[in-house]
Amino acid sequence: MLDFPTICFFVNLLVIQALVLPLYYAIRVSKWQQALLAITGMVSLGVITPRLLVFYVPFWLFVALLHRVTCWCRGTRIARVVFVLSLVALLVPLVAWKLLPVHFVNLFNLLTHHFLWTYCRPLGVIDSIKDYLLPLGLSFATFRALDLLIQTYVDAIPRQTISRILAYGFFAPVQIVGPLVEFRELGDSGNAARRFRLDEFVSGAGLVFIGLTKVYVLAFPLRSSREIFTYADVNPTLTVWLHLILFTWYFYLNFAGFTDIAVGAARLFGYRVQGNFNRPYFRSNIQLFWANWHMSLTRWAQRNVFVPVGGYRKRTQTRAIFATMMTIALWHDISIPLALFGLIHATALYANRLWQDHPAAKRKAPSRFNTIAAACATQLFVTLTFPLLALPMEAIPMFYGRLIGLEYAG
Amino acid sequence: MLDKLNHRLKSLFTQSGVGVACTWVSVLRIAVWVGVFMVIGQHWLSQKLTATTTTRADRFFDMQLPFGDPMVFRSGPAASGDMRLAWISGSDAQVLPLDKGDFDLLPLRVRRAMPPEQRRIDILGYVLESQRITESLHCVRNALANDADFVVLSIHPYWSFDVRTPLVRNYMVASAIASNWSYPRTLLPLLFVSEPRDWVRAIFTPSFLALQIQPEFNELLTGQLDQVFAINRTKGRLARKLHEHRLVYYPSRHAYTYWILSGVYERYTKYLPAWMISYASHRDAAKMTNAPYNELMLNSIITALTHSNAAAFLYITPLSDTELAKPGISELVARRAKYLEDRVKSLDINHRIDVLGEFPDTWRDELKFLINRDGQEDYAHLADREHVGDATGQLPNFMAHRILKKLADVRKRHAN
Amino acid sequence: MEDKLIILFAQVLGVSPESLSDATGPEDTDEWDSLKAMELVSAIEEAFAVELTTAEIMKMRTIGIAREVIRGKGIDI
Repeated sequence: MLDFPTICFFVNLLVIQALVLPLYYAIRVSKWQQALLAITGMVSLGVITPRLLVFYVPFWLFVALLHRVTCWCRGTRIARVVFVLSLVALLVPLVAWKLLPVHFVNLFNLLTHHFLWTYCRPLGVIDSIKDYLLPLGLSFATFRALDLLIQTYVDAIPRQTISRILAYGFFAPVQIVGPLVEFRELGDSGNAARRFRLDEFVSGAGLVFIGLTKVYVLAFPLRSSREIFTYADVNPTLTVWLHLILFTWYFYLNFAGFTDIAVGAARLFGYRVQGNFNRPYFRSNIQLFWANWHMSLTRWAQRNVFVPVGGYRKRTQTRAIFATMMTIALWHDISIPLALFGLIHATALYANRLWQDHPAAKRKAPSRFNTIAAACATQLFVTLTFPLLALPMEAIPMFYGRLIGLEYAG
Repeated sequence: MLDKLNHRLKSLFTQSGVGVACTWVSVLRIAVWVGVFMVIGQHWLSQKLTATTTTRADRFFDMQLPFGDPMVFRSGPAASGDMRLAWISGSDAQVLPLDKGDFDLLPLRVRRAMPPEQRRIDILGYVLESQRITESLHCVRNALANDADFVVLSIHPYWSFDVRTPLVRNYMVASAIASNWSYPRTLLPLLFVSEPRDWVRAIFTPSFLALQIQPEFNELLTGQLDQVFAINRTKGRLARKLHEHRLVYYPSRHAYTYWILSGVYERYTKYLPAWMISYASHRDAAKMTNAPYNELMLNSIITALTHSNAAAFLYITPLSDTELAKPGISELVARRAKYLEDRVKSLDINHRIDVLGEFPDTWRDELKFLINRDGQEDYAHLADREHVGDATGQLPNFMAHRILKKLADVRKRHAN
Repeated sequence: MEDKLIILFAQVLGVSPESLSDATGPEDTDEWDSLKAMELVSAIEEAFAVELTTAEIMKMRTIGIAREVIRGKGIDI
């Protein structure tokens, strides 16, 4: 199948961790621990299919090179040019995939496999047995690489060793579904190796269990709700509404569950990375929603788009809001529905910002009833934009038509 | 969230923190509760799922392999016949009837072709969705473990020899591991082609019903919502539109060698970029060799048969004339047929194993292959066209004769 | 001696100064959202008579880093 099941990745990872952790915590030298982290990540990808490594090893070595060059150019006249070219170079694979998916997926698989078959036949034979795949984790890898480079450019990250960058790039728990960890979340241990701590280990294992519960006990029974996007035109409006709402919960619980597993797995390695969700469906306005939904992506967009575009200046804040939301939307896919999604949410955020500046909003704290009503309204708004994430453009008018009771006339 | 929960629980209990602090005791407590719920869960699950075993048309019923292959049929209660015949093949053994209803099976037609007094045969039909050599090995071992007296194995001329094909069902690697614990020679290459989860699955599946019948278990879970709020799944305009949209990716799945060897996906070429068609068209079928992995699996099949008391009939799946007319195909099939025949003939027990690399033209000419929507012959699938039974022609008689003759030869040798 | 920067952060974020330190960042304080961040930038520029560049704003992930940035402009805090 094209899409590798996320749970399979995590089962592989947890088994690998069970084997690697004793050695990992026995190592007392930080750089060797980092090297083991990188190797673990490579093995996690390689067991899925070796051709992933043919892409990702050069990718992260290239990132390490760009990081060095950016450090070297700091303060010089060519710094900005080098920086922009680096960003463009890193974005090429992701944008190519989103704009030309069939061509890119074919090239990705065929060329990497052909390389292995020609230059490393044993791995090529193993690779042959593996299935055709989408470029797993490319969106996350690209954005992490961009974040590293941007933070390097603004001198927030000093020059790093290659092993540290590879450990960051190949940090296994976050490779496939995030969160989009920042370099400083993984790279600030200095020269001290991570030590085993029982409370962190138990906490990590607990998070993995909680994540599995969210995915298989809470989300999985709701899985069939996603079929409403295929059969909306032959179902009553009430059924369409019901399953749309259930789908938003399936989507959240599934994503949040896998994030919990990722964060838990990271904690087993002794790293406390930030989570991705904090009760987003109970937030009373759209700004709070985005501050608590896929938080790592929101934070990424905030520091790398919102701030540079002038989000902290009143006169440029509007364009910063739109640029940020469009980045978040188009990260998922470069398509008209996602562009609409970004525009709609940006408009809502802008409207919310205007409201927050209004004197009426600054009066006494809202009542409990108003807060609940606001949370329901926010949830309804978000629910209504979910079809833009799930459907191609030609199917969207029909789906929304069904929501208001129109017969499909396409 | 976990930390807050832990902290809250801690404040409710004594300072000893037994079970609510991050200690080995709390880890043990979690493990005990997991064990308790899994035992209760297993009990509930086995009760629920016993009731869902299906029966097909009173002729045969689903027989669950340990790793959940749903396409295994058994023709009747255990040990009722003179002989237990295991028929292992891909969809080439399915014959579409005239009315395009539920398919017939070649082994059933073979049984009907036998003399009435010799028809008391218990058939284990391993009809795999797609024939892959690892799965074939697993099925052979399963058949022998179920005391098959005779094993018929159809070997796909492309997929069974060529490692450049994706595995259709990803659990089959785990099943291969589980069935090869005692065979280090086969286990070692599996180490390289498997993932860690396959080993976990191989170890735990025999003990956990939920893993054994995972597809049904998944359906049970996801079907709960349907029982409360059902979705009408009639294919409307939206479903057809989305199907067209998804078809764009479909050919990408089969970009490896074999898709150019079978005409099945030609109707999707409009979705393929021109450079890919050009890439694929330069691959020369006539020069393709057998993959070492596949040869190892094939040898393991033959070894398993050698160490059993079962007789066997191995044959290369017959292809249509349309398929054989493609450049290099007939040479490829001939080469692989010869490999199989030479391999079996080199054994000192080849009296028990019958092999047929290429069917005689007289029998192959009578086969009626499925005609697809473009009016072309399918490469291997059969369908009745004018009257019931014409898809297989004299093939059932031919195979019935071969099977009964081989069985008689084997019995005679044992009697001597 | 009063820490002017901590007091400024506390006033803008609406929290007690004792709850803040140089290590505090947006992840540690719910109140430090993008709206407050904008107010913080304006407040710092006004209080210390400096103009912050985009790169400097991007760097300021904690109170401690903000302190370094301001010191880098020749202001002793």
